Order: sequence, then structure tokens, then C-alpha cells
Amino acid sequence: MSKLLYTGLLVILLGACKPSAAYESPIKELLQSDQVRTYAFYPSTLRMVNIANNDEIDSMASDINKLLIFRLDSTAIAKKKHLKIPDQYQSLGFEEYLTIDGGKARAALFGLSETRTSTLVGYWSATDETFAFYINGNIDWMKLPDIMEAFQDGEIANILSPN
Amino acid sequence: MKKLFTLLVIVLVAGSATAQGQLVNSYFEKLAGDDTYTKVSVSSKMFSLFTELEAGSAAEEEFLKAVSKLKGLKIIVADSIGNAAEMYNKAITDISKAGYEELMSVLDAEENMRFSIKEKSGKIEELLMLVGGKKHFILLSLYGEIDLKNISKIGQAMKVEGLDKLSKISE
Repeated sequence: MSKLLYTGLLVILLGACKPSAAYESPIKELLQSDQVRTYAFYPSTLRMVNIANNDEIDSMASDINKLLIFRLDSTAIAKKKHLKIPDQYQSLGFEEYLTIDGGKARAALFGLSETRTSTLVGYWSATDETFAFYINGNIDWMKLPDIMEAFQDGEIANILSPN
Repeated sequence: MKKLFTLLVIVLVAGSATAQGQLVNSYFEKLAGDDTYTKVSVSSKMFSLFTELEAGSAAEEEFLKAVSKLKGLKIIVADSIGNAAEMYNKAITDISKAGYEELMSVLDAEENMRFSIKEKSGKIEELLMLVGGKKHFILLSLYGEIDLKNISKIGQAMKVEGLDKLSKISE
């Protein structure tokens, strides 16, 4: 009887520990199409785009398991599928971290923190460009503003908008 | 009787929690769908992530502790509107009516700025910053347990438009 109980508990626990990779599927299913270009980054590729060899970026990149960036073209933007990301992920237990609405930009950031890793999903939409993203790994929150600044200063190669 | 008491406590606690950020929420609702205003909302979950970080120094530890006590941040920004002065004056009236205390005002020819707070049991539970220029308007609400000593550092660290003006408090 106790064996049965342990087996039952194990099955429940395994079910609760949903692999983080499972959270990739909803955003892929929602966005992947001919109108969306997908970029996948891993620690090695993230270090490659760090053209200024910024140590902060390298150390952050080593803790990231995977980063997916979806660049939507005008047809995909018109379909507004990226706006469905919040509802889709909230139903999976993700919580709202940040939203920006109105003005020149619209953005949403939702996340799920597990014991060692966090998963973030969201989108960023400005006047003529819209991106959606998925990040899984051990994210150092303190470094995020500096990394965004490094990106704006051109320390990170912008392969998403090469012109 | 005990049940009634518990229920009353729950109602009171829930009431005080929702009171934080109430004024800025009413502006969010009013301006929903108006694209001339940018509305930014940062949830308590985002701030709680700072508790997971390791501090490198005592000052950093104090800063992280201060950030982790925040419950939310809401900002409404407009860069180029025709009725900025009208919006500013209306917000001043709404802030006074809602019972906020004035902390500091900066008035000059280019823009007016007013910081107001809501206190409870000697602790600041909401800080409002209102900025009105010739064409621009900012209403910012930071709520939770607020430590004014760290407020400018929070503004600098978050690199969000409008938050840089919080440094005026420490000046």
C-alpha cells in the first residue's frame, strides 16, 4: 500500500514539475508562421553578439538556457497575435511583471519563477517594429537595465534590425 | 461572533490594500485607449524578484531590501499634449481631495512638480509625483513600504522615463 502511495506521490510531483521547455510551445504555436522570423540564442550565441566584450553581458548569458526572439512583419502585426501572449501564459500560471500601453510603445512582460530558473515571455511593439520573446534561465535582474543600455549603445550586435 | 470579527478584519485589510494606488488607477481607467498617454505598470511580483538577489555590499543590501518592499509602480506620461496645464491642475485637486499630504513642490517657468505622500502608522505607503509642463504631463505612483532614503537610487536603477525626477527628493 505504501509503495502505491509513494508511486502516486511521485507521479503527482513529476506532473507538477512541468519541464521549462514546455513553456516554449504556446508562444511558438501562436506566432511561428511565414510572417514571423524566429531567432534562437543560447549562451554561446549570446556571447557572440556581445561585440564590445562586456563582462556583464557574458556573465548573464552564461546563465541563460535559451532566448527566442520573434520578429513580426507587417502582416503578422496586423493579425495582433502577439497581444494574445498575456492571456495564454496567465492561464499557465505566469504573473504580470510589467505592462506599457499607449504612446509610442506597447509592451508586456510576464514571468514564472521556479526554484532555479525563471521563464519570461512578452512582447515589445514600437511604431514600426514588433518583437515577441521567450527567455528561460537564471536571470540576473539587476543587470537587465544595463544590458538594455548596452544594446541601445550598440555594444550588442543588433542582428534583428541590421540596417 | 469570532467569525464576524475575522470577516471584519479581512474586509478592513483588503480595503486598505486596494486603497494604495487608487488615484492613479482612476487615471489609468479614464485614459485607457487614449494613445496620447503612455501608461506603465510594474507589479509587486517584479519588485519581489529583487529579494532573490545577492547583495555585494551593505548599501546594496539596504537598497535591495527597500525595493523588495515596494508593491507597485504606475506611471502615466504624455510628451506632447495641448491640455497639460489643465491636466496638472485637475490632478492637484484630485490629489488634495484624496487626502495625500504634500511633501515637496518645485515650481519654475518650464515645469511644476509636486511630490505627495500617503502615510499610515508613521510609514509612507504611497508616493505620488506629479509633473506638469507646457506640453508634458507625468503622474507617477509608487506604493508599498517606501523608504525615502533609497528613492532616488530606485529611480536611477529602473531607468524608466519620469523616475529620474525622483532624485529631486534627495536634493
